[in-house]
Amino acid sequence: MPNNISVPRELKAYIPGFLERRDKDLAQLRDLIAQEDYQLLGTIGHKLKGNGASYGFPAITEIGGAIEDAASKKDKDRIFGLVEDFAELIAEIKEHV
Amino acid sequence: MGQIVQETEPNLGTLLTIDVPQLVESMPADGSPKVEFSQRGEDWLFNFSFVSVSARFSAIGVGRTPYEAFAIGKQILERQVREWHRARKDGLSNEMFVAPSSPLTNIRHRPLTALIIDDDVDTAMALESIFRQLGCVTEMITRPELVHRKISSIRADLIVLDWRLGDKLLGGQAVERATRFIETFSDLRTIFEGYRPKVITYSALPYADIHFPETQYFDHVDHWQKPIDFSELAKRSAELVKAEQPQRGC
Repeated sequence: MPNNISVPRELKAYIPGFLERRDKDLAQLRDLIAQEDYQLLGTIGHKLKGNGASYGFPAITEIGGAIEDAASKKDKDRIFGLVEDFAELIAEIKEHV
Repeated sequence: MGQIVQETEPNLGTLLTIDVPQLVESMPADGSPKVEFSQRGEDWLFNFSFVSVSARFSAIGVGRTPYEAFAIGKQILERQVREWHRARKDGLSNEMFVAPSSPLTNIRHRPLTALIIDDDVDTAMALESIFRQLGCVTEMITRPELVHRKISSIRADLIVLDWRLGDKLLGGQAVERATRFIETFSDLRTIFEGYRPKVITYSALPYADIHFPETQYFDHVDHWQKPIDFSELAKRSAELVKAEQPQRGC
């Protein structure tokens, strides 16, 4: 998966808060998988799809869209895999910024 | 407003320690004022906002000196405080009174006001940052329940409106509520006479799926489909601002 990371200079100060909220999203996604709450999984995926690219993280947008799609199909296995990809992505982003 | 005698007008320090506190005394005791004086080129900007349980006031004044900027802002705020007293006396408002912003007068370059509405705080902050750096006065709303109050009471020139505001509110519904809110208060209708903020809807949905309501108070001028990267967002925002204020940025 391509992980282009290019944070706009104007948003650098916002990145710690952004990543903190992504950690919360990750924890919530894992809880929601266990609860099989596909609606809320889709909502979080939709949000990630919307905000990732604007912060210079197109991979977050990509994963968010995929989570949203998988949630609409109630594909639990696929969602599980995507959430783990998301966890790796956040860890990688933290190393680079 | 009376004559400003420049030889004896208060300096910035006096304004902050005496004049502004005197102004705040006329406002609810449980409130929090936020005051900022800044200089842009030859102009001074006085930016005041106040929030309490029962009222919100805000004003911007621009002048050739800090005192002139303050005097203009003070005039606007004193009118807002009078309207708050009248609303309480008439029993018009059982909820928090949100004073409308007023048009700036007697200035050469009025900054545009951009209002960003998105329940996702990260998206809202990115947009707010862009418009602020374009020189706009910015306001941001992330709580869906406050949207209709804010868009009906802030005289924004540009509104970027997320279409899906949480799980229970669409941007169009917020516009409908704001329209009803404006039509409830005569002072808000007065503000919106001859003035229509330009609204840009922002959503992962395509334009064909955006059904902007009929309203005489807001002008739906564009739709931006998510996701959009930062540089493209900045470019579109700059074009929007330039079209609204061709002389110079904001």
